[in-house]
Amino acid sequence: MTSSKQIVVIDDEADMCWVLDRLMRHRGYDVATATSGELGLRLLQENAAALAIIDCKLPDRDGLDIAADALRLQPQLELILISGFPFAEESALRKRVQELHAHFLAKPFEVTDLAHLVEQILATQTDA
Amino acid sequence: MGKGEHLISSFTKGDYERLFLGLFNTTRASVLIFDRRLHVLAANRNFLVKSRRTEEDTLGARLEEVFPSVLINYIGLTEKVRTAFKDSLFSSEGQMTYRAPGVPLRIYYYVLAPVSDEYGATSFVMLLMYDITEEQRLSGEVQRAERHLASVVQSAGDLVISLDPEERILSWNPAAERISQYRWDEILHRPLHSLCTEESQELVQRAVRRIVHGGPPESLEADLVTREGQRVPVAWALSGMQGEGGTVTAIVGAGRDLTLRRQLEAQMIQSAKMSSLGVMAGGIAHEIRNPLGICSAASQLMLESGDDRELMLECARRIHENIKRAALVIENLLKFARPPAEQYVPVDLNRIIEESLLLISNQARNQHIRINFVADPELPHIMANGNLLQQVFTNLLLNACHAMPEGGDVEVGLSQRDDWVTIKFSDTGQGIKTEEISRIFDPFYTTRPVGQGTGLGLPISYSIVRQHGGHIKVDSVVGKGSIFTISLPVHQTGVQHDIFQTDRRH
Repeated sequence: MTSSKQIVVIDDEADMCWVLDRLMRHRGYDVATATSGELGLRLLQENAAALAIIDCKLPDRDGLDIAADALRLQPQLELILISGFPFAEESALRKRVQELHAHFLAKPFEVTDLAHLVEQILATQTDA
Repeated sequence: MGKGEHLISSFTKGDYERLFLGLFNTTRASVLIFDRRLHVLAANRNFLVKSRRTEEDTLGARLEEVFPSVLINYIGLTEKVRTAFKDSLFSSEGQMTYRAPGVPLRIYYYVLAPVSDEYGATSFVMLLMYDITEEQRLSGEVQRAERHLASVVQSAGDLVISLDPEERILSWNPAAERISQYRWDEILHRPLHSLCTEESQELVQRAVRRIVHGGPPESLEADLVTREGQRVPVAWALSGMQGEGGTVTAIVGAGRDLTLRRQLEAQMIQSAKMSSLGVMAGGIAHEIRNPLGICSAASQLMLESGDDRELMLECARRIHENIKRAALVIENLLKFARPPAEQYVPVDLNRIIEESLLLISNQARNQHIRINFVADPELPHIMANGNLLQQVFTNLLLNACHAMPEGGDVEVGLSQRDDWVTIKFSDTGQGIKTEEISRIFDPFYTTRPVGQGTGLGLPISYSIVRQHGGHIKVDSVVGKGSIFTISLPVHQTGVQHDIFQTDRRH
């Protein structure tokens, strides 16, 4: 596992940012976090991140819009979207997630699932 | 002409004759005098007029020729006159109905009196007939009216009572007996307020006093306490009964048992609440899943922390914080869902508004709605049902969010003037069309698609505000936004103010 793999976490929950930062760091990744969409986009512009983990609901802008913007900035970027979304919006949400070629995890999620997903994504990216 | 004890001694025989004729022809009674053969010896003017007879065909006529035989047989008139001749002490009285030709039936009270000579033998028999048709008719009507009224009062489903000017119970109908479980004779002369709940006693006493002092009818809600100690909500209409000279001699009260209405209202409030809950469910799920997500991730991090005690403690701290957060969301949710308590207590509107804002905060955040509310620590506590008011505020805030699908601003303002507190909810939403404004408080009126609004939110808010003695009004401009203004009376005594002053700090 190379140390150059950077992950950007965008979640308005500071606690979530902290936990994900620690978990990913523990697994040898380089992590940067942001608690709003705009801050997150700035981070992505400044760093050549391989993966962004984005919460769908952000205080300033829709997390999915941020994801779309991020892809425009950096088409190689891999995306994991996380959300505590209620059932009603789920099918529409899934559709947009697919359009972005992103992965999706519902809150609360298993850390092992997330870690596994991250590992898988970053491994395929290296292979590519 | 009797023994003359009651007569004026200076009268001459001529005086007596004139006196007799004067009385004979001016008395209201119809008078006939019979001789021993039962022939008419004399008939006064009144008799002739009422029976449509002339002097010629009456004087000297036999009794049977003057009265119809049905009447004679029915009251046994011939027999009675004969008896009067035999027994000078005999007298008879009673009622007779008599129809003279071409005249409506009349009712007479008659007296049959023998007039005896100086030896005690009956020389004439006098028949005096008093026309009591009018009196009979009137008293019959009065009786019928009384019976009718009494049966209305007796069979009424509502409480119908009367009080003396000292507020003591004079009458208490069967509905009042049934509802209060007190028999009429048990509560006779007890003051009405002594049967009411403590909170409403003064209200009743004051209303009665105002009526006694000539005030207009009063309507008020005062709960009765039944024999079993249950509270029965009753809506009363009290009004004064004026005697001669305009003084109030009694107070009549009609009371309606509101138990069923209250139950229906409570059900309606509950169902509207459930529909609000449905609208909020999505937001609430998100609100709980977020802290759950953190707890879950942090606990897994904890498992991985190995010997890193610092990290472990930090994880535990954050897990604890987020569990508290989720618990608070659930607590607020339950507070909102709880059936309303009946009691009014002093409440802090600042706190109720803050709780309502907390409930809808996620909904607002999702829709990019900014909420501006500055608490007013100087605001007095008001007598209210906090749960119900929270339902009103939450509903108005949800409506505001609904009016701003593209985001916007909500401002909640508080102000106080005299004994009234005003809460203003302004949004920058779509606004309400002029033709819709008059209907927004109608039950089941909704502009939302089927399944997205019950049309009960605003009518119930309206009813809750009215229950608190307040008003709700709306100003709206299409495309600019709406302002809902709620005014509530403070209804607060200095004592309560002092007690709850300290409460405000937390």
